[in-house]
Amino acid sequence: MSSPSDEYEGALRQQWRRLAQPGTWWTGAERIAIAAEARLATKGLPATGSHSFAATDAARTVATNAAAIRPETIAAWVHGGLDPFSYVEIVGLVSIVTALDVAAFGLGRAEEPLPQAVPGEPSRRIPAGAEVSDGWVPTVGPAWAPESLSAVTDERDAMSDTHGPLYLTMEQMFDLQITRNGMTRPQMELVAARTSMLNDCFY
Amino acid sequence: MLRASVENAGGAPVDLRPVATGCGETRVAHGAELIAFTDAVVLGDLEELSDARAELESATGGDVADRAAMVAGNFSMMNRALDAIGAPIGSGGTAIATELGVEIPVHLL
Repeated sequence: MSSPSDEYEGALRQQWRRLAQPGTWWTGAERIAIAAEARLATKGLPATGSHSFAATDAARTVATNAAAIRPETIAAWVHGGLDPFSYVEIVGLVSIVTALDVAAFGLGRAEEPLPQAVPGEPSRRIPAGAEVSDGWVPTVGPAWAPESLSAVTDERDAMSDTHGPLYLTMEQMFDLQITRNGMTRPQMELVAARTSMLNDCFY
Repeated sequence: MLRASVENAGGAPVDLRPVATGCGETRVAHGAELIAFTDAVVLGDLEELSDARAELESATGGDVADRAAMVAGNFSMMNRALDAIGAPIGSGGTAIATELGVEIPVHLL
């Protein structure tokens, strides 16, 4: 059985490699700049202005006050030039960097420096069937947790790859008696529920 | 999932109110220590973190605190993703919100 810190290290290395690569809508350098804006916002520091106002505001809001986002907020960002698919990529990478940063703080680790960008162009690939259904942005199928980022396949996969080592894989989620590193499932769910309350999240 | 996992384990019915208030007895083993540690981790409270970790480790052992930090990180990710894309709340959410003593914002219904 792996120790939690070994699993964390594996997830961090995987996601940092991914963060540095060109994404679906943003280059590697742009992705790292978005992550940097999210971190600045979390620390209460001002924006660098390296992106458009819409992209910068989206990254900072997802990082610090996602519960305040409304359809009108996203419409204003789109009006400001942020494509909805580009927005979904911002949501994915900011959410994943936040996951790793929050866990690192709890593990007593220093903040990991952001990686160096890998050159290249975004793929600009839209998955078949991506459209607005019951959420506010395009998804492939219903806008529920596993498919929340499905408009940007690489971000959906990255979230799934982070979810397993930090919490449970999709298969493990069906096991209500699972214990990980001495932590029972009810204990995991208590931490999950309290985290959601602190983030003003009702899911 | 919290209620389902407790009921599956055959434990006493869980009290969800401390999830909202941060204090009280949930009937989950070492629930108070877990809530205090989660608060320190999610709120980035460096002053509280070491005491909260020490109390949790004393009650459960070191790996549980590490796993708890990672679960808090995971749900910080899921919370942002779901709030940012406007995923609708399922029908079960309303009843749980009532039990917690909180109201679901109308834009999520």
